[in-house]
Amino acid sequence: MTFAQLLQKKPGISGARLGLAGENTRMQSIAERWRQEGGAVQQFRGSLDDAASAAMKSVTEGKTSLLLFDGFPFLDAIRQLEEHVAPEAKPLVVLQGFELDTYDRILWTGIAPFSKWDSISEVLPVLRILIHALETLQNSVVRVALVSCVETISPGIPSTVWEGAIAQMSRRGQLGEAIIDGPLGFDMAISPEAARDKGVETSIEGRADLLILPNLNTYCSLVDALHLSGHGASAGVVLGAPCPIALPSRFAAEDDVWLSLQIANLLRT
Amino acid sequence: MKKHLQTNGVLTSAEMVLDTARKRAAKRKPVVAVAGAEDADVLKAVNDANREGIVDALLVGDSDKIRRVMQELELEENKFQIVNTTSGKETAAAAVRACAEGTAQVLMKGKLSTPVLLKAVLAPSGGLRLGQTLSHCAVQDVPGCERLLTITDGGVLVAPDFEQKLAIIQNAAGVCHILGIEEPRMALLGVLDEASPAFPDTMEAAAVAQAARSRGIVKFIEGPMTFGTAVRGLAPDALCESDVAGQPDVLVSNGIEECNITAKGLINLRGAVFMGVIAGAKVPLSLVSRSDPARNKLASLALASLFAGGMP
Repeated sequence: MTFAQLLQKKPGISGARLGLAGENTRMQSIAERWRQEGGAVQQFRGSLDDAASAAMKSVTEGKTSLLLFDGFPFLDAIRQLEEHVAPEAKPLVVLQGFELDTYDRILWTGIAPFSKWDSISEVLPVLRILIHALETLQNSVVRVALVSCVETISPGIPSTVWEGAIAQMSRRGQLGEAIIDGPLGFDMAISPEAARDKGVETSIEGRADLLILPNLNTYCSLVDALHLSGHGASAGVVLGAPCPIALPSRFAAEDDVWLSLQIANLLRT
Repeated sequence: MKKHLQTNGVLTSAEMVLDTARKRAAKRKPVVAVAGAEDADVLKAVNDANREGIVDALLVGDSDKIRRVMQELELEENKFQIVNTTSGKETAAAAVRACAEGTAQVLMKGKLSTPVLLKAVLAPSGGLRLGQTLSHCAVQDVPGCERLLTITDGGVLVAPDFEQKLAIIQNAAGVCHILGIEEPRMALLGVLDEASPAFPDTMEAAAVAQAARSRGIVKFIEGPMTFGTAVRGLAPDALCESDVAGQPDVLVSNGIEECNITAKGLINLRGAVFMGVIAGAKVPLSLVSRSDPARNKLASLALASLFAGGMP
């Protein structure tokens, strides 16, 4: 599935009330484009703290149904948004998708940056949020690869333990229809040939939609690496807040900012 | 195009590594001791490297099985010398002995478990210890990058501590010297571009960078630094300057998962050519994965062969 196919599935943005935070010049262009599509726009100015506070107040009052934060450092933005979101909504979850000319579907990855991310109890609620979002977007069964550096469960590599346990829960039918397997090496997750060559049987079959990574360091480095010399499109959104928030990468081109906004809009309904 | 342009003796592409390996081998061809050679993928990689004129090989393992695989691959029966062994432990010991005695200059893992081979490499007597920590370096030729990018350690140390990170840096500097980079520029990866108590790894990265500089291990090293900043450079409105951002030779990860997964992301989705080597022993140890494309296996052996004059 491509981003273009995703965007064909749902109605447009008419009537959506967008809140914008960010001072960069492309925000004016985005705001204008949104209005032309029939949506309403409100801008939140000032520091990240001020903008996040004003934005969440507006959402709570029902004046804004969708947010875009652009041009802020990723973790600073999440931290400020978490501070201004109702405590029960924490932790916020980020979802980043890439359409690359080297992969036949959108490759998503997600994490809750301010969770400990070291046990089933930390990861599982986030995984459910991510799967639900992708099922909403793609309207199909989601293939989730729990990625590590090996394919075997090893107590010496703690992520393999919780990844293996989550995969087992999935096999027992505890996690819905999503196809979930791990731990898997990165190549096993995205390459049918790699899985075949290594002789590892996996229900993912090298066609993962969603990668769950072992820790925040890995998430940040991989996302940056996939943006490197990037031919293709990318979109970033934040889940778990009272409304979807578009949070494109700092390396995103204007088209990717717009795409992030459209993906967030699809999640609004 | 950067490719094929040798600047001040620095190798900046996998193709240049291959060319240099061929030229050196024309004078004296290094021998690769293959531990567990009874594997078609490994034998094919070694044979490809031999056909390219880069290495000779000493095949260690079950000789009957090795000959059978060679027949299946239609290789000449006497093309390579074979040492017959009857167990994994014996195979590892024989291959390591060949390197320790100077018969071979590169050690390659074949159909043998990595722990068994590393145990033989690190044996107190007869092994290949130099008294330093072993670590894996993934040297990558990434499309769009002007220089080779080494990412470490994605293969040996799971969660390196402070001193082990310094050893990783030392080993990576050695690999850079082999590539002709006298003063490598290194970034310790982090989720932020500044140290923050909220993220302990960023605090350690700052401390390790300081220690690496003050101990004289490497001159240009900074951390923490996000992958994006390291590779693309500082933001236009950054308040500081950097000797590393935008021009790194080495990225040091926080742990094995970050390095392994990021490196495989570059290989599988960004078309990077990968050259892997374990450094820190008397000879380089080459590990190729069954799923590696042929070009990566060849490039890995070419890189390892450049160490043939001895570890720096």
